[in-house]
Amino acid sequence: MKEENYPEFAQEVSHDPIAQIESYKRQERPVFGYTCSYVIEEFLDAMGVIPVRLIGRATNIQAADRHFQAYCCSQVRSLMEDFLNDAYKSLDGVIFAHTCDSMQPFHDIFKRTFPKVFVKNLNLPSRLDGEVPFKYAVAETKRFLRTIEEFTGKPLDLAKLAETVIVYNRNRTLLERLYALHLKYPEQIPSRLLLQSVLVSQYRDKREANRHLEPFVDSFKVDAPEDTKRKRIMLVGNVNINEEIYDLADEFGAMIADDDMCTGRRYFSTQVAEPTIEGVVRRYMNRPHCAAKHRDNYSRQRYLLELAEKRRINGVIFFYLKFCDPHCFDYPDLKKALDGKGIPSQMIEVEQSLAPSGQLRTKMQAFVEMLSV
Amino acid sequence: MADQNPKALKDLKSNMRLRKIMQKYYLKAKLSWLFRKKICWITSGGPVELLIALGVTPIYPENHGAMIGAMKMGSELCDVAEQMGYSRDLCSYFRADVGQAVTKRSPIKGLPRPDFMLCCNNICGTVLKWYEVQARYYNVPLIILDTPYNYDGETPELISYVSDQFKEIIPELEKVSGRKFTEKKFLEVAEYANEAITLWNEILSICEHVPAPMTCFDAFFYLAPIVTLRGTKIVVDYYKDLKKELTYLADNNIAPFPEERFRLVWDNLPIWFKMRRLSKTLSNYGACLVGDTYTNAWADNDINPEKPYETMARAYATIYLNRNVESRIENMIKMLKKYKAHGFVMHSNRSCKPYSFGQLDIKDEVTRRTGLPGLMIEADMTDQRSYSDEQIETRIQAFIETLKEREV
Amino acid sequence: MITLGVDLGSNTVKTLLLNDGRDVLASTVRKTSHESQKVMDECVEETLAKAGVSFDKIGKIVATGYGRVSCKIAQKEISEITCHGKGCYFSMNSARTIIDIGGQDSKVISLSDKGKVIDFVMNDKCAAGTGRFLEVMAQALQVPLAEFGEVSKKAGTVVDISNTCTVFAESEVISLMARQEPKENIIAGLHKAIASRVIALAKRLRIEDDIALTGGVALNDGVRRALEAAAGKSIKVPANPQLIGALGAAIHAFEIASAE
Repeated sequence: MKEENYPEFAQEVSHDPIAQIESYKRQERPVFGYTCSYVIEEFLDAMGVIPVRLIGRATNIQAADRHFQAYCCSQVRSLMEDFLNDAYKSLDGVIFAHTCDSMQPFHDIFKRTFPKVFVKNLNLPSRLDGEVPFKYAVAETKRFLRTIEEFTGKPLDLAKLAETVIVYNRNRTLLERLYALHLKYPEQIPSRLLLQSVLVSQYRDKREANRHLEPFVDSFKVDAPEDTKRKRIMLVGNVNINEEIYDLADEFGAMIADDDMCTGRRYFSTQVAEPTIEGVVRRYMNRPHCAAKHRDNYSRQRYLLELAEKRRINGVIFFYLKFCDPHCFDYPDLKKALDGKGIPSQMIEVEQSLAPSGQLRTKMQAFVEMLSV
Repeated sequence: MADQNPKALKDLKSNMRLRKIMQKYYLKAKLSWLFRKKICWITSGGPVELLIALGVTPIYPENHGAMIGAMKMGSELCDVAEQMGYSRDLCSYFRADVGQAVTKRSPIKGLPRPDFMLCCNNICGTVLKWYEVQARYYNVPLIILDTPYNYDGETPELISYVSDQFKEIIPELEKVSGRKFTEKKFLEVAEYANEAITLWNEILSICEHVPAPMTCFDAFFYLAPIVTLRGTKIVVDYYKDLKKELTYLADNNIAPFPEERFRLVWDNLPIWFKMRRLSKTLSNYGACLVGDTYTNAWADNDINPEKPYETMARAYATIYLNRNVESRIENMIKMLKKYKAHGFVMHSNRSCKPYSFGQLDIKDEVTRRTGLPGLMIEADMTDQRSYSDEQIETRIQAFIETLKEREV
Repeated sequence: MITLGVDLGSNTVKTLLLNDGRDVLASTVRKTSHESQKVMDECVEETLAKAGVSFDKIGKIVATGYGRVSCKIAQKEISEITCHGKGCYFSMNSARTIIDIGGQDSKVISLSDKGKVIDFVMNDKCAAGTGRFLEVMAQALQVPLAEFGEVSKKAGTVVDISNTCTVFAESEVISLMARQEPKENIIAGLHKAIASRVIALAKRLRIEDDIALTGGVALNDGVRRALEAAAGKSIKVPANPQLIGALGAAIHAFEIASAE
């Protein structure tokens, strides 16, 4: 298995989620697209459906203009455009979770625009604090599962859930190990491979993701020293599939050492402690949370500072896909907290664009130069 | 009695009374410490009945945001927030609130600082983030009532959750206010609230009359008491008198724009800094706004004293803005019929995403089903920079042409 | 040791020859074209000729600016933020905040007391607040951009340009002209508009004295005055503001060569 070139595999898969969906459809396996990482994948997997993350890729928004104004979140607009262009015609269903003020009407508009598509919503609470929201989350999850039964024809099998949990926890462990190894082997594990590996997990059956990632991770000696030459940059933000920022960090002699991103550490953080419905729900309620959720007024700040300290981060880049209200609300106080610790930061907002950008290059270069003096 | 009757909308005794009520309200709030009353900042969709029952003074930063917009102070205050790093794309009520908190500049020289905050996200998710920011700024407790959006209608799980939170919140409120919550007081407050809501509903219905005795822009101002002082006797008395006066106007066909060539329904929040001008522009074409979805949002709740937690939960969790796009389509169609409207105007308000997204689909569907044309205008409720006179007036003109063609 | 700094901007190419990291031997500024390599070569040739130095005598070349990646002769490319910081601090060691209004972007840079870049902010999403804004208006007004500074001195009143978007502002300027508004008043208004955008950007950092203005637009004194009015502080322009980037690049080249 070591002969396989994992980086090549990760690149290929992460660049083409639709090809992954098509491949599963050829195998006649059901595939659901999901719009938010709060959609609890374990349940879908245990019920025999492959969950594939939906991230907008369209860069030229035209058809979606009929449904969403220009000041709408970039992710929603481009995802709608993808759907209107039939990019996801092979999906068996689309699952939403309650996320934010833009995703919320997106669900409604999506349902009316595509009435034949199987669409369900997991209405998780915005509060993550305490037993009252947890009790609701479990009750709502059970209601949600009953709606999925409409498709699968049978209820969730707890034995299958136990097997899924083992696979998912393993995947999380492997990604954690990859991140740790990246600090020791920045040349063999370039920064972009972190993003690509998370996307592989989001786009493929996790058993396969594990089968490819495990030998790669195993091939590195654990007791090597961490690199000390490259400046460590941490990305903080929402959803991102832009590899350029990772590449630029590496090119200028730094590295994206870690992140607080939805397409990054937040995705694989925190194991499921118990293979029950409650146990799985708890993992989603307890993991480091998105700006769209509330634990307490300082929870994201505490987490950010702890992670920055643990990973000895030299600089933070707030990397936002445009028009993201929850993250933009958090930004000033998070920046202030970093300033207080003497950690320099920069804010970069991008629109859905996979094309290389001269502006991004200049900002990254200037930031790394600033850290390096 | 006869010469005490109003001759026009601008002569209503209710107008002066409204000013007095609001002035007194803000004055008392600023002197809350004198009255040994705590101040709680609350969202417009929040359960203010609980605060009134606990003798806490409620303050509505959104109402203040409307005032700031109406007095054209929005841009300068939003600018202050932007300089602090808050994106210009964030809600302008929020940005203006940050601006006023930091500079103490506003039509009332800034809001009194909160002792604690109560946030209900039934109107949007933005308020949760807004209140987090301000709770950090003022370093005060933040209590949250999380009312999940009715994606699939009101599920029993949703209602239970909100009901459980009420049980959680009340002891918390007791703690931060230092007062005891008594059911007796609460039920009294709830009764006043119910009565006020019924009256408000009736007031809005008066505009079904042709010609309507007031426009929805006027309604936006008369809205203030039911938003800020719901649950008090003052509000009930106020609306009783307002209803009487408006009924008189309607019965005598006294209207601000008597030749209502085109009756229109408005959707979304007002453009606070352009209301007079928009009203004038429309009236020059014989058009007038007789009803709107925003003021109607306060005509809906109903607390049943026999099942207070459950009905409160339902009342707060199923408000207009927390219901899905399908229900908003039905609501618009109902309103167009109710108000005998010829068309509708949708304010695509860049500060209010939950209200504005869906408008494109709603507009198309409503026109498809009713045949009535709709106009979209892109603006903002409080930030004057997001408004272009030429652009909007051109659109209005074109819309009127459409309406004229349908007349023939 | 002789070093060369090349600043390939979106509007102009600047080259500067430096001796021992502190004596400017010669420099050139030229408008760029789609054949930017050719223009750059001509610039370098001219600079070398003015200094009486041959190409092979150059110890190190650093490129900066928008087009730096494609500079074939440079051994290293460094961001214009770092170069403006270095060049400006060298010319004016009291500078702690640098405002650079370029052709296509504007940036504000914070320097430490030792001249190190400690923070920066860039506006690159939109033309308003950049040199482009004034270029577009110069066309509309039929007044050469180079004369804007002088002309605006005569302004009686400063017209308020209400539109923040360049495209809408252009229409506004045209309608002002149709209403016979004197051009000097309009230009003063445009200066005010660009200044308010740039100062709003600057306020995202801590604005500390001394404030320096660099870049091509710094040659327009009207903009400097408008920036001072918007900031409520005085703003200094270093000598040869347009060459600050190239100067910084040349100094960097010297530092790199010295370290080797």
